[in-house]
Amino acid sequence: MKEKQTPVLSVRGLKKHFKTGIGRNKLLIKAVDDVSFDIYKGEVFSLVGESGCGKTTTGRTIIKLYEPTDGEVFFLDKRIGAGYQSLKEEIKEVKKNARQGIKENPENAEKIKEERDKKIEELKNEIAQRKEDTAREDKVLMKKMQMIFQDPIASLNPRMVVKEIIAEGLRIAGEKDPDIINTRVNEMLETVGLLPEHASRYPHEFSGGQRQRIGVARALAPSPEFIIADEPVSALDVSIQAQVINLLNDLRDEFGITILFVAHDLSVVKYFSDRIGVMYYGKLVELAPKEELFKNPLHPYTRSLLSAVPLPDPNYEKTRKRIAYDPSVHNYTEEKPSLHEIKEGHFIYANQEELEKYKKELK
Amino acid sequence: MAKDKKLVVEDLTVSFRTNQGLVRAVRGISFELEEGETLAIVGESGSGKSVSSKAIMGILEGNAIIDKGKIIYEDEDLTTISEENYHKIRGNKIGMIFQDPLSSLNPIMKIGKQITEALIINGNHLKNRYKELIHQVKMDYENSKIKKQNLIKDFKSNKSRLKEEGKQEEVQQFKEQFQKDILEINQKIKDTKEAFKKEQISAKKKVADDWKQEKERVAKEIQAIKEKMASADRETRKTLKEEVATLKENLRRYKKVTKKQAKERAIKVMEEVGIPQPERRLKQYPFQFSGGMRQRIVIAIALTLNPDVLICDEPTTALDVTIQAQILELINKIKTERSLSVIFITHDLGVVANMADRVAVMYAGKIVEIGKAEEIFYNPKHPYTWALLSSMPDLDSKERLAFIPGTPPNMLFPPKGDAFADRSKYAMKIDFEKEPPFFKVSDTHYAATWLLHKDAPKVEMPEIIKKRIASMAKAPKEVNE
Repeated sequence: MKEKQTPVLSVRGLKKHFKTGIGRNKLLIKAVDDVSFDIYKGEVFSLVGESGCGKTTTGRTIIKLYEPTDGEVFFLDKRIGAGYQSLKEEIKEVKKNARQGIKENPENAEKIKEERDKKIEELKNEIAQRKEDTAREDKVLMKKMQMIFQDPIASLNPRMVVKEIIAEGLRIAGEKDPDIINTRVNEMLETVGLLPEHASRYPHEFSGGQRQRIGVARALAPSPEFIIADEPVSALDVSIQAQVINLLNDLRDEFGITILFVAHDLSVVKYFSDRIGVMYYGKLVELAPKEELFKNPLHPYTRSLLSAVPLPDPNYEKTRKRIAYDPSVHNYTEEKPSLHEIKEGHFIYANQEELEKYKKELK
Repeated sequence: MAKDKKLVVEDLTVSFRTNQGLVRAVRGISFELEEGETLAIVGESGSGKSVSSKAIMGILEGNAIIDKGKIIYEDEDLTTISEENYHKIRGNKIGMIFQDPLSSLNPIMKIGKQITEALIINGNHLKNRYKELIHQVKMDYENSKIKKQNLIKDFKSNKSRLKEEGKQEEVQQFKEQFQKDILEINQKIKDTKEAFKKEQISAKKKVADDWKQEKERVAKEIQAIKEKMASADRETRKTLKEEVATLKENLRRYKKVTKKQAKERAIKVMEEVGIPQPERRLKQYPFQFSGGMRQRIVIAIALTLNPDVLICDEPTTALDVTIQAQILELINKIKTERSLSVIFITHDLGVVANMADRVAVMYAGKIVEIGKAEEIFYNPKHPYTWALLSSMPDLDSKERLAFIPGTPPNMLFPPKGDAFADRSKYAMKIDFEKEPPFFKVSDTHYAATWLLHKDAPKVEMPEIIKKRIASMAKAPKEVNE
């Protein structure tokens, strides 16, 4: 692992819950539920999982397209996103405990109340701090984080020419000089392998792969350090897929950009990334360097996912057996699971009992 | 070949009329589909794979023209038969599964109704019988009408041509001939029309008589049971009542496919495609299903009418890996159970390796290589197949991915020679001038590239593919334990 010491992005206990419906149709969807990971400088970190497992929501919450429900996101050692649901719950808990305490020993009431108020004060301060930290967006910092979207057709404004699309980020960041903007746009076009004359064309005049390149150029224009690529190749043909992956690979080598890669195609993920996180229903179930993950998949869901990858090899395909994942193999009634480091760099979501089992399998 | 040919496509050419001119989407493809086999058609988007499958189904857009070629199914050429005859084949004989399971289902119609819709619409047995009876005379009548129109058209164009050339005498002669022809054809139209009308009345009567007879027969039986019922005890009366009910239901079924019958069929098919609790699911709407379940429903709809050829147009492109694996397993299972012949269209080579017995690689409206799956994957010959194979990362590749430079050719102006020559580094001079014919590699394996010509320089396939094939041979199983 290169330069492991500096995490560019740290996610701690991130939760994003969506509330839908009213009355008895009320539904709380835990799209992302307590996810923690670090992304180090210059690496490609991939999130994989089936559709609806919360990998896109994670990416979007990190870049603050959504406000997190709980947990914190640190970018370059600065808190950029934080939710405070758990703190609120803690206040409730403290109040309840205090009430309980007063009921049991009424003579200590004064002392308990004092303690309670102190604790609540602390927590409220923390909430206020989090609110303040995240209320005003640090534009200079957020400029360093950019996103590439899945659908190259839907994510480009059809009424803007390519130059306007790419320059929009610069303009928002306050750049007014047309010369600087022009040179920057041309520079970006060259980086992604397009020609300067493409700048005055509209998105519909390009093919799918070229459109995705425009999306990449737009993300690169404000010279970011960190890019979130949300399924950038899923909507593309095989041959064009290779172009875009090669481009992203070059960018990483050239500019040292750190990438969070969200995808469901495991062969692309293995080719492209350094470390892989497997998500299942809002939880991160396994996290490991790619060789380790493909060699020693431990979580049953990871195994099922790996067994479903089709390969261009008829003889292998005719004998391949898919392993089905049944979530009921886990017995979490007695002990709640959490993320454990089973081997250096290899994390797994399990409780103590399962951890023992996995450890045996690892040997 | 020993096996029966289910479907034969010969030199099929399809173009689209557009404002810019003719877009030549499919340029003379030929293939055969044998019974019980899966033929995969692979290619980039815009290579014409979907268009050819739509041509087989007869659901091409209005501006499409089939220039030439034949699609032969059960000794009939599907490109020439009328729309009415197509109804008998489309869905009943050749079924189709579409790419996007969400947009191919009606969002405001319950699943049950969508599955049974085709059964009920096609299910009026009396009407079908009537149509069948009058079919021949009707065709005669219609054909003679078309003939007359053609004659007039012919005459007009020829007359103006002759007049321009100033051959007055010939015009006169031609006119006389034409008048004679017209009289003849008018007489024929009159005759066939009369025959048609007569046949209509007699067919109507025949069907009605049949229905009446059947009704009377059942009524008599019911009457007999009712008489028995009067003297029977309670237990037997109950069974007798049930008997009457089934008799009545059967009578209804003689007339048409009843809702009950259609529902029974729908539940059976839904069980077959692996939808749990079909009775409850029938009453739900598409949005209440997940992506994989929706695709299962689309498959169920295609299966209700018992087709023997199934066309799958990228059925798993919109789904993720785990669901994709399930759907592919399902299609394979159905295929063996019903001994279907499948045409499988996709751009994912991994999926092809899983599904296909034979593979056809399409590029720019032409088949460039066709052969058994093993031959295509282990011994590819065409540069385009090489490019496709090497641009796909597999689980072991580490080096830079090879990609295909440039874009597919504009089919408004199809290139002369080998269409892939512009993007191929193996292109020779002849590739830009003359179209390569099919060269035989083995009995089942053909490729259209000049590289296989005996005068061509020896060209090895790229390193990446060689390495990959070698590694495939070495360690075929790794992930599955």
